[in-house]
Amino acid sequence: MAGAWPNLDAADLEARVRTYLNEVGVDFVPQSTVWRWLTIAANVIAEVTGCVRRVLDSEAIAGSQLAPVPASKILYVEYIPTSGRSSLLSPITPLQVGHFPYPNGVLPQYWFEFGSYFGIDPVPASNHRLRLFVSDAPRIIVAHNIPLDSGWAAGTGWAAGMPLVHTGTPSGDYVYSTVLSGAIMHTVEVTVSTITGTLTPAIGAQQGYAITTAGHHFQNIMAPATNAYFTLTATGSVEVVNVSLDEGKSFDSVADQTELSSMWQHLLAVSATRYGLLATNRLGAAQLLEHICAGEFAYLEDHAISVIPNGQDEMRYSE
Amino acid sequence: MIYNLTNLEALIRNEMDETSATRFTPAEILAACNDGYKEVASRAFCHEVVQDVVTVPGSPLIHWSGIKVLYAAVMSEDAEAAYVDTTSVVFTDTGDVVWNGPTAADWIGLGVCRIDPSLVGTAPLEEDISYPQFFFPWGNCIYVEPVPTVKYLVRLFTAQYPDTAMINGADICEDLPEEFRECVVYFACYVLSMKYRQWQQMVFFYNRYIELLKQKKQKFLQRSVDRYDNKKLPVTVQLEVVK
Repeated sequence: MAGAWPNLDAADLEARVRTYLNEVGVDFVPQSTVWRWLTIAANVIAEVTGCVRRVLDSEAIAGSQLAPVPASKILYVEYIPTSGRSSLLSPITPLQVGHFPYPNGVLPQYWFEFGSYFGIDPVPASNHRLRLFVSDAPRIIVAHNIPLDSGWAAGTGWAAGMPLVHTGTPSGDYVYSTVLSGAIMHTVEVTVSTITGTLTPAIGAQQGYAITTAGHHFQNIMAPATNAYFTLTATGSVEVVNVSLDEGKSFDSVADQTELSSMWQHLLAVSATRYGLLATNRLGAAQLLEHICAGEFAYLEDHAISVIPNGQDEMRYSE
Repeated sequence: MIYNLTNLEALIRNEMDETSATRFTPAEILAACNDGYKEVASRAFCHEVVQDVVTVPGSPLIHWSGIKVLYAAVMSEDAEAAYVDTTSVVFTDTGDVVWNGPTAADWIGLGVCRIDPSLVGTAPLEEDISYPQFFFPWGNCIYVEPVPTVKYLVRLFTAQYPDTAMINGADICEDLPEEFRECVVYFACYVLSMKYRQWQQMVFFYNRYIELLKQKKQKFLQRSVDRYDNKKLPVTVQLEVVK
């Protein structure tokens, strides 16, 4: 086991694929080919089952109906008012825009997804915070629970430590010293314990959404091709307790660890084995493995991923 | 122990009709057993673990990791004051004693209903109550409604992965209930059958593994509540009067 239990890293997965293909040494299938199969398998699992679920920060911009979709698919959109209870927006089609009643006036009430954008109806008159419940492509873990007291360059107002603290009105940057891979999507998780100002994560020149509330925040940020340094920019009093980074690259190193939960990881090896069997024209055997994988995907999607609400009967007392 | 690693290997070699290590190395069998250990836990949801988590005031999201949240209950208010250990006081839960707060007023102890995400903002909330009343899991988070204004201790009844891998011969799949350990044998046989392209055998072992898993899940993990019908006595026989 090279991956940290219960996870399997690229080396573990490759070892299993080679066992199942009975090719313990690298005789016919090069490592890069196995990694390619594993990458495809991970994406297929995420696409078929929607198992990579995130809650992403987002924002409706005043005067703009459309905003970019930062993930594979949006399932729900939550409108977060400055005070009062949040609510889920109703999904509509572009045809229905403007035809439905607006009981809440100019506040966001409906949404639709089209191409690489999602639209808000009515068009927001001012900026509003949103939360997107999405299914996404799987990432490779860069680092989770990154130490915040070393390995960063502290700018104005920042005091390195655990927790990491920013004080004072002037804006200041806290820059992670390790450069990230350029030109690929990253998923950033920032956990804030207290905040009275703002905290904006960014990779290079690409900024995320400003964080103004405590709690867990997830954002997908596309890293620029160069100078892909992760930065936290803060104003006012902010206390950060956790930062984690994942990147949307393919398997290309033995230590690569997929973010897919452990329950899916052995299926990666079985799926990759299926590609190996196809490559050697063992079509019947490949079909058997495809059936097994399809059954497992459906079972896990139904029993571990889908949200099954409690029914009224489950809460009813019976004498 | 019948299902320790040494015995698991022997059982697997028996099933695969291999008395000595000629086709499958011990390392391959060990990997298959550990994979089976995790697979059984993640398909049967049988490694049940209670986790206590604390809400973040102002945020509906609680971070969590594992296979699945089966149930949730809100336990107490002002969780930090009640639960965080100090140098002089350490709140250690035992099997019989769970620390719920310094005063009875903090105690809530209420099961939280899982809802569909589309009900956020419209699910009927109890008035004047700010603790979590609804929840749903989403990825590695739990979303609670309403958004807590203070720290609440939320108890999650979860299915988890096994804590540690098996390494030595005496190690057992200790995080699986005993009745589920047999499934590991058939899982390992299924994956190892691929190596020598014994496809018919692979299908047999896979089906056996799934069948066992289904049976045991239904038999040992299905929860039932006492209902009025369970307490009824059989109806006495009455002869109908034929007119």
